[in-house]
Amino acid sequence: MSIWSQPTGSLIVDPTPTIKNYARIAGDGYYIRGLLRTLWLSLATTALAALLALPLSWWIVRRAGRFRGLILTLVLIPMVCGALLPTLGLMNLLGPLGVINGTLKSLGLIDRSWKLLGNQTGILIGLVHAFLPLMVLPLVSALDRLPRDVEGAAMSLGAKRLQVWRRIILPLSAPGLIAGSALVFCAALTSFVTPLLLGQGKVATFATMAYQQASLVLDWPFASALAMVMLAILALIGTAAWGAQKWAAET
Amino acid sequence: MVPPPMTSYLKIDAIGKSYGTTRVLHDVRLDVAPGDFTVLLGPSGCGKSTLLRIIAGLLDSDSGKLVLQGDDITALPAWDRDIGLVFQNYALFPHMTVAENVAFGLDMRNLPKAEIKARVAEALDAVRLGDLGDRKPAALSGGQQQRVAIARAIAIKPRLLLLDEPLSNLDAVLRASVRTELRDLHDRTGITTIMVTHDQAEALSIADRVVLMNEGRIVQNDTPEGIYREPASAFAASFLGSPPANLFPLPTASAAQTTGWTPPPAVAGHLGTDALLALRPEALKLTEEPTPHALPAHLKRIEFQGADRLAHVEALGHPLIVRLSDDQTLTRPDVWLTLPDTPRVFSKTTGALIAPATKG
Amino acid sequence: MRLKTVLWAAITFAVLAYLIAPIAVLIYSAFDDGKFFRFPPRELSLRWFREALASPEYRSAVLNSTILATIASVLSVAFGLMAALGLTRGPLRSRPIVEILLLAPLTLPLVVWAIALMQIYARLGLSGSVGGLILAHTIITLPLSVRILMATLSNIDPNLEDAARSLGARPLRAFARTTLPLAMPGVLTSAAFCFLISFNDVVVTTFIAGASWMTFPVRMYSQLRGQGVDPITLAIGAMIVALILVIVALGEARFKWSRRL
Repeated sequence: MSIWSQPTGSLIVDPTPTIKNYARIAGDGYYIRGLLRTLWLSLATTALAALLALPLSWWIVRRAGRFRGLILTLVLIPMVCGALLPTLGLMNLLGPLGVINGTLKSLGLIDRSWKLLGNQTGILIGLVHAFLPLMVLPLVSALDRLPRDVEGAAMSLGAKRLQVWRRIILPLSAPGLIAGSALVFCAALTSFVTPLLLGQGKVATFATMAYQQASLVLDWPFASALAMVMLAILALIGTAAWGAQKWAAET
Repeated sequence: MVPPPMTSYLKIDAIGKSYGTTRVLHDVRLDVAPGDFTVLLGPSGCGKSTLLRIIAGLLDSDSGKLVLQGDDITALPAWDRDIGLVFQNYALFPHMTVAENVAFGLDMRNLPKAEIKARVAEALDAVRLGDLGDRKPAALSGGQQQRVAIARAIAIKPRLLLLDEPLSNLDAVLRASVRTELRDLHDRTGITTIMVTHDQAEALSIADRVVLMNEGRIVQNDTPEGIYREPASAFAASFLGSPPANLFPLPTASAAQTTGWTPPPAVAGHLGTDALLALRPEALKLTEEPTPHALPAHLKRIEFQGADRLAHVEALGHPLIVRLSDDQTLTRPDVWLTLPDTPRVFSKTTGALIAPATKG
Repeated sequence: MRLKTVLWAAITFAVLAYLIAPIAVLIYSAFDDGKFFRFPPRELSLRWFREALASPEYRSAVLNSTILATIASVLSVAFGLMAALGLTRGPLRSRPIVEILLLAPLTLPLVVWAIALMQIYARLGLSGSVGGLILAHTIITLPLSVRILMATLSNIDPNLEDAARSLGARPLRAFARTTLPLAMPGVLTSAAFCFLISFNDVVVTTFIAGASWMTFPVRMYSQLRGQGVDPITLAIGAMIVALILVIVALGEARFKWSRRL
């Protein structure tokens, strides 16, 4: 459907095949900038999620013991509550009169509110929160499969703590890390509720553009073209992740 | 081969089965006499478990016919066959108590409550588990779980009891006692029983008839003694016994002469042909002095097994195992090996029996 | 060694706090008496909970969401169970292909689904209809229920049904008496997750629902887009989150949900 077109101001779809929609995406700086911004946000989300998920997953697998179920449940909360409810909480947490700014102000640490909403910071905080479980779950299952004795074995061979992490644990958890990264990246790339609400309409991402085209402008062929571009990126990420998994399995 | 029993309780008539292009059963024919304890014996992949599942009705055969007590049951579904089956992993229903497990089949037959209760108690008593009816299977030991599985199968008063490797999940100590119990139970109930196993000692000790299978075919159907003493093929000779029979390829006449061996007359005619001797370890004798027709051999090692001692020797370049008599001592590595006068001779290429000629 | 243990725990709890904070703030801010939330709050009260319970729009929206999620999750589990049975037990020759087809929606992002479904529905005249909405929710939840149920079924011994058959049970009865009761925890787990996904879905629903069938998340979403955070929304959100937390806690305690995903 993305290869059809729709004349401006009309709701009737012209079913002649055309690459007009794609040309529009490629030719208009607005969409290109939006695409780059989205890619950057997704990449940052993935990196932050990995950074937070690694120690957490490690702790869940090795130290949580009988609290494991409880902690995994807590991790799942953003997933089971859907996109909206945590976002609502985040708005009150990050807003100019919200919990963070309110606390800092009443402690006299800052005079003017930090701007945490309506910009990329807010969106990042929201995206990492929403998709952290997607990173933690595969990591936990990858770390679960790792025999308990490997660190001991590595240390008995003279490896220091940091070396154990770099040489043993990271490579062995690579499959989980790759899977988690692909999931988080794709989820962040296509998420539109979080950027729309936490960006307060000021930060356009690819998904919010598609949403606007489909729901507000009602140019469905163009919305489809935007969706197809996202799908193409996803396919690329999927293939890359698959290749990376194979590569990690071989080395 | 021994002719089939006169009366046939279960008739397996040319049952064939393939998975894709792999033929797992080649038109198998077997008659089971009423009240018999029959063991299907064979290496893994020989088709014995497939045959058991076909008899139970859990698997359809591609061709052939099953006749039970004169009724053709080939097309009858499993739930109408009245055949009890004990699974290798027992397949107890984990969400039901022991008593509920045993009652399941009676429940399916819509029997009155009081009768179900009585028959459950009877079946549990038969396997000496009378007091464990309220437990869940997970709370039982492996041996107890197995007895529940047997009780569940006999509670329906089956026309036939099938046992699929019933001893394979038990430890070695338990296995010997359960073997005796299974035979006792069979003798008490009189249920015609077919058991599948890959363990030849188990088969020999428990069965009325041993049906040896290999590569989807029945290769011999005989009494335990018959199959042990008169194996019909090199495969049967080498599959039964612990250790199994030595398969000794015969040298050419000139090679025998060079070593200084004059074979016994029954063997001499086969020298230089496509022939193997099947030699049971206990049928061979080792001496330090030559005897007539003895074969020069080299003693490599004596293995102590408690009740037995096994001598590992080499003769004409082939390894052989000899069971030593209790009081025998051997001091020299150069020994003489005495063969039985009329050993069983098989074809090296086909494994078929060449001598002595088959009876009947 | 000691210090390291403390450090690990500190990092872990910081991450957990980050995960929980928005939910905690949401519940907490619903108690703020003011029209606009501010921290520290001036006064705490149950005022907005009372107003939320009295609001007819929200009541109908929550009711709509509940009905939709119930039907969608029942359908999803029913189809999911059939698919999972076919995939784990049946003689399906093209298993890998079928599996990919069934699980594809899990990897395809909801926005893409939404845009696709919207256009298909427009052609079929299903746009804005309740039936179309139920179908869409069944489709987006199906992969999850297939996944959970496949994991459940692969842990149930297929011999049990054979045993039941050899004891005289017809196939349907054998299934109902052995596999089904044993699969119940998985069935309930997938039903609960499908319900939550469907109940909370904004993306697919905003794209394809008409104004006639306003679900709670859609109502909340348009409220947030239009007028910003409103205290009644907070109160309802807080109640729903609390309910979800209770369900999830029960699910974890009873069925070990975290191990089934």
